[in-house]
Amino acid sequence: MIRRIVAGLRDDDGFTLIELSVAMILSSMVIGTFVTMFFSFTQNAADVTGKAQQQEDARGVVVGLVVGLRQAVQPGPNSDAIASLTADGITFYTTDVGSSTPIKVSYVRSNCVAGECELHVSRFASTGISGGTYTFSSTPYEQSLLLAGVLDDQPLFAGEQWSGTPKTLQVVPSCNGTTVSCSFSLVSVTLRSRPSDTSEGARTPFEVREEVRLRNV
Amino acid sequence: MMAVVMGLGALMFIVIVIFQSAVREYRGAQYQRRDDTIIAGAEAMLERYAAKLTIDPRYYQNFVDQAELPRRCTDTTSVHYNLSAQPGDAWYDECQTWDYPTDGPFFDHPLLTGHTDITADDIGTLLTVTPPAAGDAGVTLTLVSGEQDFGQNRAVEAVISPESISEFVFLVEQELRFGSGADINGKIYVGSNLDFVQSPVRGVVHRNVYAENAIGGTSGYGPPVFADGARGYDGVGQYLDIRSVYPDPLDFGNFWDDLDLIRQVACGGGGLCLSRSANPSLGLTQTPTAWLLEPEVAGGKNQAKVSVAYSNTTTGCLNAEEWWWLNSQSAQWTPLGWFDLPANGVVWVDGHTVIARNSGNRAEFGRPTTIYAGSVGSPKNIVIGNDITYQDGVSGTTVLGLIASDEVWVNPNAVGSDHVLNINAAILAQNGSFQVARDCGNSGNPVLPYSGGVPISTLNTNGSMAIRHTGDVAAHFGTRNYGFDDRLESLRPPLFPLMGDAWTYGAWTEVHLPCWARPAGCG
Repeated sequence: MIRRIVAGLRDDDGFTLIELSVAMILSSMVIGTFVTMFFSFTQNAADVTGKAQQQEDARGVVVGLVVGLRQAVQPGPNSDAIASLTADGITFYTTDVGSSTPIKVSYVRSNCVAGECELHVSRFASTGISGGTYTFSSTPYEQSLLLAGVLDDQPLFAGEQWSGTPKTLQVVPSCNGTTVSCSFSLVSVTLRSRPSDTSEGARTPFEVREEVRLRNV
Repeated sequence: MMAVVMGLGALMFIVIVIFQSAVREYRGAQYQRRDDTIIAGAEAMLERYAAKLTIDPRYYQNFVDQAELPRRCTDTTSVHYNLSAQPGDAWYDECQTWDYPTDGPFFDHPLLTGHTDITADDIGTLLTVTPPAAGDAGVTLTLVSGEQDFGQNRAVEAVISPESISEFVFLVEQELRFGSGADINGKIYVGSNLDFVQSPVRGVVHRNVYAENAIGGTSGYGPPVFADGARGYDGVGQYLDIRSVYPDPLDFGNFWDDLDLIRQVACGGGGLCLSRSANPSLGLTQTPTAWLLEPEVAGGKNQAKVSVAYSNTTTGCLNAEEWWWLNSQSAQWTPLGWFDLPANGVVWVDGHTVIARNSGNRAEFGRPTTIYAGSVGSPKNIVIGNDITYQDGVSGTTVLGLIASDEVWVNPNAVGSDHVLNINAAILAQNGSFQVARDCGNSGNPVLPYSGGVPISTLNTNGSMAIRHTGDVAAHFGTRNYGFDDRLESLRPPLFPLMGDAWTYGAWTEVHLPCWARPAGCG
């Protein structure tokens, strides 16, 4: 047995073409598999990170919106805490944490392309009190893009009010305070968005839904 | 071989990245969940305190809440100055001001079974209470709520107050019409139509008006001018929908429970109970036919001289009830004595009640007071026999509630030679209206003088008026100035009936952690 192995080692005939071909094919398959797996994992990692980022951003937007809405205030005795509401936007009066002076805040879903929009916020400072009611600057002191990839397939905002006998939850799809009252005490927020930094197949919508009770209405 | 090792390393790196993203997402979601839970915990304690105030409007003055920091009395006029009371203990009810000099343990909400059982939801709350300031009926609470395992706290401030029917300058169950030139500064609620004469001077409203039926829809009338951003709410679709503000029509029948509470507090809760049957200590041997209250604050007193009458006369067209509307000033009164107007401000009288002067030319009140006459089973009137004023004017905290389980009548003799009657009060005529007596009670000719076919007297009210229907005041007073005491938007006469069933909170806002809740204090 040992003699045969030693003889084999001394054999300098090399590999045959068939042996080399088989070895190359096998190597290619192994390397190809690793490369495919690598790129697949990389893409998955990017998708997961992108989706997580989008979810975190969306949650952050909703948290800020909820805090503002929850403590929305009437700017005057004859006013509502919500100035106007549509499926795409809401304007209300609220206070920053730790401040007693109200500000006007406007969230708007706009710039939609192929069903995907941007969500912007504008904040307007108070300019004083007139006739017992706060007035606000028409120029925002802050205007920013909060989130991209916001879907427009569902109303982003809706008002809700319990009324009737027996009490049922009535949806107020829009109000302007002049022809339709904005006196309701519940606001529903449905924020659906798609991540932008992911592969097309991973762009599944993410939804955050909150029903906010306005504490000061 | 090298490629395999590098590939495996890359895979491990990718797995670590995915894991870290997941952990970050999980932590973020958990932080947010705890934040929401903490806010819910604070709100639960707020609701709990509001419920206690609904039962006992002076709860903050009578007790240190279980979730409150230990209180120390800082009222130098109190015999308990500088003494402290622990959470859950009774407070020194004469001590009006306090502070919180020491820390205290967070209080677990009673609906949770305890800190050890639910470690993830161990919401603890600590609160401080600020009593109503001058001109304000609301109790301010600052609540710090937290999950102690995570050291995560949030602070909320809110004002708990009752929404009283005295917030309306007019609350009328039936229709309401205003004459030319009406200028209304308070909210109006009408259970039917609300109308304004359009000429020569169209009425103006400066606050929102609410009508269950139409605004300005009656022939010959129209809507008011809406000033200062005031808006109209109606039930016929011409204006904003009244149901968006008041899910149900206001019902005077719902006030009876609140009125009975006044009786109970007056006779069993530290108020003044003027009733032969409910208060034997008055020593009455007969049941009075009427009571006379003459409030006086001169010399630092906050008292009322109480007298009773045992008889009246039915003369000609006046029945026994009507007789008081015209003759309260000349009745034979038997003095019962001087009584302190109680600290809780609640007075109940079980008979017809005349409010008149003791000395000077007016009935003057020096502290928040509500006088309620009669009951649901035995409705009685309040008769106004003089000007009614507040010792501290209209900038202090004194407000008067006058509640008749039947009607509120003005005795024409209350209008002196100056032909002016001033009434500072929130008025509720639970069964009827605010009326002026005629020479046959509710019929006959006006008693107050006319000139050129027009009544020459002036009525100035400063307060609010809740009535089932309007009277014929215009036939007696040529000039009627129905002013709204805007303090009534935040200052409620003691136990005056509420719009809803409970005290509610408003001015809800998140605030920065107060110094006592910060680990490092405020330096």
